[in-house]
Amino acid sequence: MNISIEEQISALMDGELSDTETHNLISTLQHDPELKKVWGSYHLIRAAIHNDLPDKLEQDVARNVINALASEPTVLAPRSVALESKLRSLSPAFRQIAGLAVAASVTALAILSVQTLPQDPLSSSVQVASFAPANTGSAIPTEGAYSQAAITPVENVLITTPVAPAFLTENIQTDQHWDLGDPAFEAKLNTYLNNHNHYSVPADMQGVLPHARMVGYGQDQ
Amino acid sequence: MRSWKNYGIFAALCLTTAQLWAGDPSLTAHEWLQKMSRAAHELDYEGTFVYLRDKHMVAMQITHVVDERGEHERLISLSGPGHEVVLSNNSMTSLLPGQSVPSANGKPRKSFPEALSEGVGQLENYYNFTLLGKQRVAGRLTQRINVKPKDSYRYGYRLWLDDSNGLLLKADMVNEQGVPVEQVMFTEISLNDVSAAEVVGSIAKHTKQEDSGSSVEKAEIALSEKQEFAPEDSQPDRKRVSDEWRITELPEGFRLAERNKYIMPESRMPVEHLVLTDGLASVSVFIEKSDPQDKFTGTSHRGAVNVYGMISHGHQITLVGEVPVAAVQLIGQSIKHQSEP
Repeated sequence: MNISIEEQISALMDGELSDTETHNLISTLQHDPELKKVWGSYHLIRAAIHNDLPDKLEQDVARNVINALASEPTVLAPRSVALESKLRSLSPAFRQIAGLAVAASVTALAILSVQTLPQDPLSSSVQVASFAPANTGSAIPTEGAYSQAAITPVENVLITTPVAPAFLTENIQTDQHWDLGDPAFEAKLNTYLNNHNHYSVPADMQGVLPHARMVGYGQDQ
Repeated sequence: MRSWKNYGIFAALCLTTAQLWAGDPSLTAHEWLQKMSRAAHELDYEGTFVYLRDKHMVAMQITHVVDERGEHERLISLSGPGHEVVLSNNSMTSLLPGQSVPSANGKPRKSFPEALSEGVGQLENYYNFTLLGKQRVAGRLTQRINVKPKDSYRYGYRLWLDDSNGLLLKADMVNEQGVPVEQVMFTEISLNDVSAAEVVGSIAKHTKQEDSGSSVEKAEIALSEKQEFAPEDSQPDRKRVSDEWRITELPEGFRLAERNKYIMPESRMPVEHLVLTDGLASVSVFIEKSDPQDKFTGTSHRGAVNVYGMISHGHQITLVGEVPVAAVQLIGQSIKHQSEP
């Protein structure tokens, strides 16, 4: 059972699942912390295989952005309501044009997001859904103040789409450091480790491992 | 006439070399390991390998050349910030762009005869060696050897040695459940095809950059005191490791191999460094005056390396070793100050 779900996750990442399957799997994923980890590690493995890992996996930044996103709708909602009332007050003809513009911009945005992160339909579709109404602003050049206000969330969408869903980042935070919560002592441990690898590990018996450890661990610093 | 004589010598040399490196189906695991150890020092090679620990994967490039001045090796990380380690005979320099990483000088790595005379023979008391079949790694035929520990204080090894020359092309360190805790694997390697001058030149360039004080800084660890112990020396008295400290319990086969004292680059504080080894795995014990602001007690790990920290009689004692956590804990908890019974 487990194996088949993992295969499904892999298929989802490859875009090989039907809409229904995708939907079902995503809702399963959302409620299963173990599967979330699998999902996360698959992405990590894929990134590693494609040599796509960032220099430093910035767990906190990702989380901060996600947190910021979570609080975003409350800020945006009044704006889009205001915008809609503004739209309503416009002439019917203009409203129609604006409506078309809304539709067009949503389409454009959806394509853009999907292109940005094809392997991550979850986050992109969610972002598009929540931000689409605000995007109308950019379609009404005459409404300077609104377009200004509304463009901001559009940029947010573009910035946040590449950010992994919260559960993907969960298991990235492990193993980056010694997890002592004490940077000074971690630095000391790194020195100890270098000295251990260089001075102590029986040469020859472990091949390139001792020095690979130094280079590999250096990645974390 | 003279030229024929030269040809003769050349032919003899070729024969000897051919005999040395030819794949021999009758080799025992023991002989394979000796061959591996020799290959690591005597061959020129250049290749790319991946290193995997926990969920962390790094690709690295390695160049190893031997010339009249000795061995030179350069490792560069192909991903991330481009960390580089340069080894030239006795010196080791760790270059991390924009960061100061200590480099060590003056301590030769243990050479093959020394490491091996201590012995593969003795190792058989603590590990089972099994020759398995031939497999392909990095497009080359390899001999697979399994090394299984006889107790739970050391990790197992799966080794893939180049069938023709013994070079270690793939290695897994595995825990008791047989799950790899650390892995390296060459994906591509070329032998005897390395321009020594180029590598040495590049190493010299790096060293120079370093001296001229570029973004890379260098701090030396001065070895103020150093003692090495041959196996027979330390056996009778293996438990008394320094004037102040003794180790009351060691996993079987582990012995004190070396004792160093040097100044830590960050704190400028002297640290005593004891090296314990069973010939295959090793544990370092670092002892220094404890800093009330900066203590470490408990355990942590990265890949195959486990660390254990404790405070005893005003000293921070830290153990670092590529052994299971049980081993660093056992040894650490058995370290006693002279004032203790």
